[in-house]
Amino acid sequence: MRHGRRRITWKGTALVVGAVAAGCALVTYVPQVQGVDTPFVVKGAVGETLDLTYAELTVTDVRVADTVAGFSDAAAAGGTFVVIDATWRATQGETHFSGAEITDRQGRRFWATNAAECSATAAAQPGYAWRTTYCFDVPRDALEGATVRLARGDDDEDHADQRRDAVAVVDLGITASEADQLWETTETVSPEAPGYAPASAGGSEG
Amino acid sequence: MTTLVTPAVPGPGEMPQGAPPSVRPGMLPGMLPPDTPPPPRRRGWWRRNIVWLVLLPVAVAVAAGASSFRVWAFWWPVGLHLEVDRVAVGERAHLEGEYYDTFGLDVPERAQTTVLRKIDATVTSVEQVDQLPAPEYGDPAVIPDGSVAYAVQVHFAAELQTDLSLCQIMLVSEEGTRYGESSTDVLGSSNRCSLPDAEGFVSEQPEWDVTTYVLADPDARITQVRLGFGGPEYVTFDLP
Repeated sequence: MRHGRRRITWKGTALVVGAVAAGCALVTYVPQVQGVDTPFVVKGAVGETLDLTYAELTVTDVRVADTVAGFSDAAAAGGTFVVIDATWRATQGETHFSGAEITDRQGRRFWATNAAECSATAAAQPGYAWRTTYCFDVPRDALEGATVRLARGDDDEDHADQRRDAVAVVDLGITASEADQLWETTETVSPEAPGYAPASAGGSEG
Repeated sequence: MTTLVTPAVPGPGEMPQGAPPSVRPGMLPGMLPPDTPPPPRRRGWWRRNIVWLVLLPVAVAVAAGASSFRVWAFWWPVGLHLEVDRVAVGERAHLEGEYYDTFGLDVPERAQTTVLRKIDATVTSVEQVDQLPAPEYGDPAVIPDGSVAYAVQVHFAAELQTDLSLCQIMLVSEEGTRYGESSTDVLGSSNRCSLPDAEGFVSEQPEWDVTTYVLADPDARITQVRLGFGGPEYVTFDLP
C-alpha cells in the first residue's frame, strides 16, 4: 500500500476525461431506445396478408357506422365507429392478440370497444383462420389518413408489451374527401361474433 | 468564554495514544516526511488487484444466481419445459410431476398442498378425419375451410381422483408449430383428458380412453403428440 498524497498526473487526467467523453458519446450517438425497444413494424394495406412471425393477419374490410348493434346490446358512437374486420391465423402456438388501436395523423390513439359483438382482443391457435371485428369510436378529424395497429402485445400507454416484437400497422386508405363522406353516413352495422373465417378471406379486396 | 487553542505539534516520543500509525512523530497528517526512504518497487496493477480479479467472476456468478429466481418463479412453471418421457405412438409413457393445489376444488383435503401427479398414457392412434362428431350440446362443429382435423386417441391409467385440469394434448409439426395447445377442444369440451360425461376435473376410473380433435394446417407434417398439464413436465409420443 502506498501512503501520502497521490499525485495528479497527465496520464490519470487523460484517463478520466477520456472515460467521461466516451460515456457521453455512447449515450449521445448510440440510438438506445429506438435500437433496443421499438417493435418490428410490418406495414400493409386493407386486403393484404401480413406476416408477423407469430401470426398472419389480414384486414379484410373497413366500414364506418353511427351505431353498432349486437345480439343483446347496441352502442351509439360519440364520434363515429370505424368497424374493422380482421382475420388472424396463428403460426406458432396458442396466441392472444391483445393490441388493437387506431392512430390518426396527429398521433392520437383510439382503443377498441367491446360493445355489441365488437372485440377489443382476440385469441387463436394454429390450424385455422379466426375472424374478429374491432370497433373504434373516433372523432371526425381522426378519419383521414388513419391507421390501425394490431399485435399480440398489449396496447398500453408506452407499448411496453410490444417491444422487440412484430406489430402490424395497416393504412385504412381514407382520403380527405372520403372522410367527409364517411362522417355523413348514418349507418348501423351489426358485427358478427368472432368465429372461423373462410380460408379465402385473406387477400380479397374489400 | 471560549478560547481557541492551536494544538502543539507533538515532539518525538510524545505521540498520543491512538494516533494513526502512518503519522510519524513530529508530523501532521498530510505532511511529507523530509527523509522519505526510496519507495519499494511498485507491483503491477494486475498483481495489486489479484484478489478482486479472482473474486470478479465469483461475484458475477452470485449476481446472476441472485436474479435467477425469475426463471423458476415466472418462466419454469408456465408452459411445457421438461420432457420426462419420450416413447413411440402405441407405447406407454409415464408422466410424473408436482403441482400446487390452491383451492382443492374437486378434492378439498388437497387444498394448499403440493400434490404429486402420476399418470400413464398411451397414444393409440392419430388419424385425419373428414368430419367431427356431434358435440354434447350446441351446434354441430364443422371443419373450417382451409383446415384439416385429426382425431387423437389416448389411453390413460392413473389412481382415482388424479387431477386432470389444464390437460393439453397437442400435435407438433415438423416445423415446431403446436396445434391444439389449448385445453379446450374444437367441440367445446373444456378438458381433453376427461371423459365427456365427467363431472369434475379428477379421474373417476382407474383406466379410460379419450378421443380428442385437433385442427391443423393441411400442409403440416405432424411428427409428435405432446401431453402435459400446463407444465413444466410433459411427455412426447413420436409418430412413425
